[in-house]
Amino acid sequence: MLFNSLQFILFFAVVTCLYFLLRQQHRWKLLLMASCYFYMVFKPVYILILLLTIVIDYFAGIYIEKSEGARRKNYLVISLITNLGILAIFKYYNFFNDNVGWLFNLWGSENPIPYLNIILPIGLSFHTFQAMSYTIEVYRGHQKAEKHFGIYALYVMYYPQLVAGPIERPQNLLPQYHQHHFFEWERTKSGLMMMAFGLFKKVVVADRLALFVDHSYNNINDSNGLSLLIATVFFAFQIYCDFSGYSEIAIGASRIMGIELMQNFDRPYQSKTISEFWRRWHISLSSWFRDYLYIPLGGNRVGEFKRYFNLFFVFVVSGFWHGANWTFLIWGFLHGIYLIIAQLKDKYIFKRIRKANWFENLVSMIFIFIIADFAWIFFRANNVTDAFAIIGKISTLSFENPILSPYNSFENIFCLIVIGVLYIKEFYLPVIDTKSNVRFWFIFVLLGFLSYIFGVFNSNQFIYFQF
Amino acid sequence: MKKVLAYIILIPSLIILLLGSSEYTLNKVKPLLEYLQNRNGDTYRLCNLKAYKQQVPLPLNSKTPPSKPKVHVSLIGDSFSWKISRSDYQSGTFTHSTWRRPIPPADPNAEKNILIFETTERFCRERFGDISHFVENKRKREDTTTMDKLKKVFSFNAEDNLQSILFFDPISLFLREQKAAINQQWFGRIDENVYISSNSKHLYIKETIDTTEITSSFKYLSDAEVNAMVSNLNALFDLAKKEGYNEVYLSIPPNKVSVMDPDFEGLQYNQLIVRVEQHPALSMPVIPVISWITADDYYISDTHWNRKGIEKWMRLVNQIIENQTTQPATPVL
Repeated sequence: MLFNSLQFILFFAVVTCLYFLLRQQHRWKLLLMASCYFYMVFKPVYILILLLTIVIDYFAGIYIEKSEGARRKNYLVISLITNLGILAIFKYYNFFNDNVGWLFNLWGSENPIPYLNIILPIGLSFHTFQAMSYTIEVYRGHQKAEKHFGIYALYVMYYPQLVAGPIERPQNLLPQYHQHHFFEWERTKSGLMMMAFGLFKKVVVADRLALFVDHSYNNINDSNGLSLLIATVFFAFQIYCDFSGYSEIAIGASRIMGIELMQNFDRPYQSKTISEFWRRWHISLSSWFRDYLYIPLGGNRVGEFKRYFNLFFVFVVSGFWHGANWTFLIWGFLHGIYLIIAQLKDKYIFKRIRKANWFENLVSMIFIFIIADFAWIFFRANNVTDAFAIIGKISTLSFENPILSPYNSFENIFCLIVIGVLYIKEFYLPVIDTKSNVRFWFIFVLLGFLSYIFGVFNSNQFIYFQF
Repeated sequence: MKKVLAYIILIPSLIILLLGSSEYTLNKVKPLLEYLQNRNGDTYRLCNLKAYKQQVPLPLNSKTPPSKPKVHVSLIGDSFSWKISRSDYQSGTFTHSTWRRPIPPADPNAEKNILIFETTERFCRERFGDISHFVENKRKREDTTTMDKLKKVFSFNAEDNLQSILFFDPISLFLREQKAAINQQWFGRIDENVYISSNSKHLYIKETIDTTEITSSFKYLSDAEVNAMVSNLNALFDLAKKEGYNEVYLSIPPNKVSVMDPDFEGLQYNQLIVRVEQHPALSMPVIPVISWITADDYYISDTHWNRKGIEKWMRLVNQIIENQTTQPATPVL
């Protein structure tokens, strides 16, 4: 079920009303059933995979808590292998198989390994990572094993964040399922406003920009450098509005029910350094990698070279998390390199001794946007060859042909205005104040109306659903 | 007060969600829903362009009594013939079946049994390409597995259905038309599933144009595929004869774009109908449509023929029925 659908609006209204009408002891049942329904609308059979991991991780959590020494570790390993195994089969098997096949072809022989005709279950990487964070936290002793099977299942399946995060931690989410949440109008207004603005970002900004981006990236040969450059800039805003829009709808929907999810974006294109960018972009995933991969590898406590290597490794894995494609690996690789260069620069070349003025900040912001956007080329391109072709066309400034655009001139201007408004809004008004009822209703209805009139509704999935 | 408010939101939302999200519940209101969805044309429903809005009335019942009570007509058809009421046929008895079902049995009490295979052009390649369920005398495979049944509960078409249930009132229609007008006038954009005809007077549905789809009038059609389709039609003809039908006819209403814009945007019409109907090996006689149908015989906002087109076709069909006691018919308009 897509957040930008009528089905979701009705589903959300039904679940939320029932939630507040039910007694606390029955609410988990409602949320669990609703989450199952929400997931099964995509592809019913994949609920079985989710159930399998839930059962294994639930018991793993209990046994990890009960056991000591090597047995404790063994239970964790079983849980991790199950989760990563499912991820490997569904997400990475065919990618490895393709590459093995390529190697076999190089030697002039046929690949004997069969191809699996499977579709990636929606949001698999998200709920796998969330499930893993539970068993790891229980193993570390930071979280008590959840004895209530239904509550644990809900932790993995909670519908607002089931398919595209934020990837939550058990310490934040599990206690909230045990608490009684009363209906609060102020909280509801704040949640509804987040949802409305998230929807606006998705259907008005992201999906309209997608028209240009898809057109250019799918017709590279016919597009000149300028078209591809514009498409690349537009993609930076498309993916931001698409994913942060999703996150805001998820956080808002959950907030209304009294369950607070973690913030996933904090105006990343206003970052002045690349490490700041990663503290502001997809925060739940960056912090997951920090806590469960970077720090266990040694974090900042190891030697300089090892630290750079770890940083690089974490970002390549992060790229691979996004998708089984060389394009995502290169995207992760680039960000790893950016961070290493930034750290080397800070240490050996240029140490800031005074506070930057507004102009220096602006230049830094633009620079970070440019390098992040350069990496987006690999993220969006259909394959590595396409990505290099795009870079080639942009860099050789092959602007002689007319811009290949699905937009008329008005739509071009409209997109620029929308991006400008978004920038100004996010800079000056990160959170829309909803204290005044009049202001709330005015902005809420206006956002809904604008989303409907200017929104692009063509069943566009959220980009991150594919991960 | 809060509880009352919750129930006020909950009850209608739940009813609409249940109605729109599952095919099982949807079937209960299907006729109403189809009327609401298509009352201004199926193509208008997609694009909401006010300039093309045209009322598509429900089938009218003919008041004239059947002139040939001993003749039975079976029709295997699609939405073109579903738009005709049963009483329009001058036969004594009439059976309407779909392309998913086996050939309906002939009426043993009738003096003459006629079977008509009617399909619109866009489905010809799919329907003539695979006739195995007719040969096996089975309903075309559907809804057999648990998964298929689950898919009916978690309907993938929910969005379309919910829109029709929720937004059929004049205010919603007005808003939809405004949105469509803004998109067209400001952004030069209409719904991606709709095209406007070269003379700007009609709407076409994308699947009849998009050359990647077999429903397109412009998708390349090889002689081998035509031969295979004709061979299957001949097999259907023999099968129907074995079932006890005295006469078997084929009728193909063309895609609107094939009639009005055979070279639409520089594309080349694949001439499917003529190549099948005039194939020297085809044993099934034809109730022609492409030879007489014009733009005036179609609704401007719908893929189907209008009352005028229906009447012309019915004249041909009823002429066949009329001719039964004398000789097999060669219909002439």
